[in-house]
Amino acid sequence: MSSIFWPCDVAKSGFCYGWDHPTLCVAGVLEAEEDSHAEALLQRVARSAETQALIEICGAPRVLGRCVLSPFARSSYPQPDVDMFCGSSRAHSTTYIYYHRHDVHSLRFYALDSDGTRLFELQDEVLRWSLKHDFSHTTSLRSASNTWQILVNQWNSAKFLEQFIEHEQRGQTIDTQEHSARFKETSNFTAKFHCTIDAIESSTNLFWRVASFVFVYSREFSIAGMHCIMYQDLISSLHQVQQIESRARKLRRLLRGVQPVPNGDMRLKSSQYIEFYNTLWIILNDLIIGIALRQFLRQDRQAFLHLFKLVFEDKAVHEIRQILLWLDSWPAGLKLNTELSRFYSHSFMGLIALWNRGFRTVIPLIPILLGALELGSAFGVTMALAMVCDIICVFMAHVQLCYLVSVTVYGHLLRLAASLWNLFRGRRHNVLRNRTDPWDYDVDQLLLGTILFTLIAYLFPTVLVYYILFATMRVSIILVYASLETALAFMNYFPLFALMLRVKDPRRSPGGIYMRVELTNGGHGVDVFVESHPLPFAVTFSQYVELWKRLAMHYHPFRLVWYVVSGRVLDTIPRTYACSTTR
Amino acid sequence: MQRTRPLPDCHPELSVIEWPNFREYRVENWRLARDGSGNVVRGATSWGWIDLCLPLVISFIWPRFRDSTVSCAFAVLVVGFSIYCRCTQVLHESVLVFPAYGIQLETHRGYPLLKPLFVSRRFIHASLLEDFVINEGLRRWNVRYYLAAVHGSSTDKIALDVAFENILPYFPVLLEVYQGVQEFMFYNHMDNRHTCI
Repeated sequence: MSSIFWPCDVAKSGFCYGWDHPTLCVAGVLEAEEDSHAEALLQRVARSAETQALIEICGAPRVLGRCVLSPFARSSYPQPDVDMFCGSSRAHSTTYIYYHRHDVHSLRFYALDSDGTRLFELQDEVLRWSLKHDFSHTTSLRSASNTWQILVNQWNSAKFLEQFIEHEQRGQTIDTQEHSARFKETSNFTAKFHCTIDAIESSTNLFWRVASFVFVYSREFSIAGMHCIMYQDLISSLHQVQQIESRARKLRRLLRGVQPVPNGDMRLKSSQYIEFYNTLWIILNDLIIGIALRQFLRQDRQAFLHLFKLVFEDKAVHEIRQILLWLDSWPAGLKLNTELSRFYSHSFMGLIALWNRGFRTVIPLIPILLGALELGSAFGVTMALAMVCDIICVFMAHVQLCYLVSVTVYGHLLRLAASLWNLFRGRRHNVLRNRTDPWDYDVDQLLLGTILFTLIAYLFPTVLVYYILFATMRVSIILVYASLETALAFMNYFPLFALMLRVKDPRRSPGGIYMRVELTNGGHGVDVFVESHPLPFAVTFSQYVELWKRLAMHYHPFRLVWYVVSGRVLDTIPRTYACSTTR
Repeated sequence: MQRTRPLPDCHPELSVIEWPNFREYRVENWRLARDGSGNVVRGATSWGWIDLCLPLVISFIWPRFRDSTVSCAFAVLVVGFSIYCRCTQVLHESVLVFPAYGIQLETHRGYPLLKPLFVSRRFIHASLLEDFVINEGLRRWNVRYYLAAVHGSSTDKIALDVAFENILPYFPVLLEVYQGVQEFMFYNHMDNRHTCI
């Protein structure tokens, strides 16, 4: 015995209409005198222009039968006695599965599945083959796989169909013009939507206009302004510019507005709506927190300046100099090569002194820098974070330089040691085949190799010690970068609106259906409802997971340690890598 | 509504409930002891000895740690955690079979003496459902049988969903449910009734 899908808010008698393919699904109840009137109305509806999109996704509606609502309702939900015109004749009690008819403008809908995958998909191929060759497996009843999608579309469009039919029924008696005007798409949400866009576009606020103009075209300006192409890469690797670009992209998407969507596609409409408001909320939140930060910076400006001047020069310059001096004079009793060690420490100290001189000339400009930071934070805390990233990059330039020098030397030494190792084993690296082949070396080659080996063996500890110093400093700076970038990604992409929507109205972001079984008041019967699961968290935070994977892959501790040990250069996430994640 | 227990001697925790729309195979979270003595082994208990020890322990250590906020927070956390554990025990799990529409796997959790507080449901509609099988698998140090619904997903990958995932009843129960579901879902089209969708 099969069930009828009945809308749970319909409780009147008359002719019921709906769809009978793939299964009996009642969309509403018409009050008419005879079934021929109802038939004629349905046919007129099926031919009209507004319902063509609906018919495409659901199928043509027709009159299904007559229903009478019994006055002694045992449960609070309708259980009419239905007499169907089509299908096999039914015995008494038919069973009902109730579904909610959602208003078209309420942006609620049913969806068959979320886009994310659930649970484990183990050895897909193995399962398929075992299913195919299982002789005891009965022929599966997988008919056309979109029958359930059609059913879901029918549930989503039932209310619209009813409204249209009632409009047509009334339109028979009254002048059609004023009714068609009333039937235009006006609603709370879409009206607010277009209002916001109109407000943004036609805003007379000069600041907003200028700011949006600047943001939207800043990239072109910054590139056009730099005449030298060589600086293009340098400029675009600045976090600040990346942040401006990301913001510009978001704003551009906002200003472009929303394309009108045909009536049936509730999912597209809803996702556009959610994305629009999510972006808006992120930007507004950003601005609010940024302005609060700006106030904080402004109030404690003198303290910050003082702290900065005091701490920075002491730590970044004098400390390093102390450590270099310590390394030069037998650190912890370790005997290093005197000449090389002296040369190293003197040249590094020279580099740092050079940088220090530059820093001293820049010191008077630090208040301006702080002012720029405040201005940046007025545009959002993400701007402030990006600026801090760039400031760190500039102020730690001396460490970066020293690190580059020491990592180059260390890397070369390691590679030399590797090839000498091959030499003493009697092997040679074959470049054509990319492998090591046995090879006979001449005596003079072996002699040269021995000399080089003694050089390396005596110089390696010295180089290693200086490399360790600068590598640890570089790793700590990289970790600071990592945390700042994580914070930046957190602020840029947090799906706050989607989360709040999930709490407020889970039916607007559905991720699958289920049947809810409720015992009736009497306790003898049961009502079955079709409800939606809200979208799972994994799907809402899917962008985060993606971003986190990239960050973790790049800043993974094992990877960092391996790079340090093998003498490769540590760097931040290269621009092309991060570009594909910023949307 | 009609409720029967198909295996009353060895596995009375399985009950089959016939509703007009669907059929429910319910397995409750208790079983008879497997040594034949007839004792009931409960999976979800309403109280245990640890619930009596906890207030005792807290009353002993309370005077010492009353002032420090960290220990207070820790004690509150421990009490909260034990209440949470007690209130999310699995009461019963079921497989609802809607002929021609699909199957739904449910887990009801709550406090054993009250109505279920949390229900998690998973509906697999008939056009996605490929097969409903009994598989053998390794669980901790044992080999267990489990019921699995093989279904496709929107991304055209095949996945398994385990029925009675937390209780994992023994084979006779699984066989009973398996035969029932196969009969309802996969043999329906042989009768001349409304076609499956």
